[in-house]
Amino acid sequence: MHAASICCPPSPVKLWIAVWSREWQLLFRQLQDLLQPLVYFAMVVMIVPLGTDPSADVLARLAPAVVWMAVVLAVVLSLDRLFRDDARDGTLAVLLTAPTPLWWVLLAKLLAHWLGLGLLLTMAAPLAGAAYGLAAPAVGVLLLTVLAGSLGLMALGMVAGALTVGVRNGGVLVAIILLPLYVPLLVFGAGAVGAVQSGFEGGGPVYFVAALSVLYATLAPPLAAVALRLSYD
Amino acid sequence: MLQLDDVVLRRGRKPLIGPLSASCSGGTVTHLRGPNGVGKTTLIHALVGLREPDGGTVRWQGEDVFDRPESLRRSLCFIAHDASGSGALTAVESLRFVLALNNEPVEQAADALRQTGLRGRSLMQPVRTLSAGQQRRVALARLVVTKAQLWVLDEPLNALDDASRSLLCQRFADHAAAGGVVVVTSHQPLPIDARCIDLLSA
Repeated sequence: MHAASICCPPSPVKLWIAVWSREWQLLFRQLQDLLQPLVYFAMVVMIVPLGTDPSADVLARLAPAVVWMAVVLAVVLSLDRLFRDDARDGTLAVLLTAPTPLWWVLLAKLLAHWLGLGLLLTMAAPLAGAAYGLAAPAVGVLLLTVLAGSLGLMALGMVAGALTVGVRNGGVLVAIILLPLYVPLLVFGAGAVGAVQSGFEGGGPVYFVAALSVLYATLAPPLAAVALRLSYD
Repeated sequence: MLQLDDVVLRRGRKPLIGPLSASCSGGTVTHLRGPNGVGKTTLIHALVGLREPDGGTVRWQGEDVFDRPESLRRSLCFIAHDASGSGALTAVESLRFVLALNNEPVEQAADALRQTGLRGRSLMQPVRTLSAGQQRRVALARLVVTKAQLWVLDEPLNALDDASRSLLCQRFADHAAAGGVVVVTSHQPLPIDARCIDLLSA
């Protein structure tokens, strides 16, 4: 009677569509979750000139570091959203016991998150850079590094978020785990803009950031899947 | 058949459960009983492969559910004790996602919710605006649609009213009568034929 009940997992495409439509619905229903990191980004960018000598050459020198720091903070702030609600409302238990490859679900989740917040930050970063008086070529490089780098930041953040999903107030732990991991992206991301400012070619560091991001985004879903299984209970 | 052999569970170093041996075969409803904090949810997690037992094995159709979970996951419908629906989504959207993940017929979501007692506007409201009992029903509506053979349900009767309770228990009985395996934890006695396993505080 139940012989036919051994079901097969959904096709990867169907699964991807299901995860994406849910992520986008959640994103637009909970705009505050999307706006909060952006407001945070804007605040950091606006506050720094108030605390230092706001002359044009100082601000232009600070710009890559400040904008990249604001991007990192905004991403860290948004990571809570990745698993917090899913863990609370039982969706995570369903994901972990469903006959679907968990890493595939997580990859879809990561890319949806990147196309949501990542693209918004990519649009905000050049505006901030221009406001700090960056020259046009440097603004372009800033845009590229934030576009590529935000994927890497989120990928690492996904693993950290998965590791701490069972920890109450895991936010602090996430920040501590991520601090050293974010160093290469930050150094090369901000460094690329600095290089262009000093008259060098910015292409090398931009490619490096992009390569790192692709590497992290490839490794993160399977790692986060293992981490979720370990930390769920 | 779900087979437990000398399952031991600990919380930290504290022994929680076991050694427990039992088998839940097709056509039966198994009711896990015990006081709060005795480890019912921990045991349920071990049954569905979310937690490795500290001793002994849990096997589904002969395969260890933690080491080789594929066959279990293909025949499992697990509803956790805190399962509701995604707070910002509507009941229908929320259930559709759960069904899609398990390759169950998505288009039956609205119908299943109606059969579980959610009607009219409550289907289209964000889940978080529903009452606790209604949120429970969003999760439990999967039982109407699922073709899973093994149902593992953690405190499914919580927050439900009397009518939905008896309806749900009837659903357990029907599933067992059709050859399915039902494992539930509950504080209340089930008004149907069920085998009870009492978990005692260690």
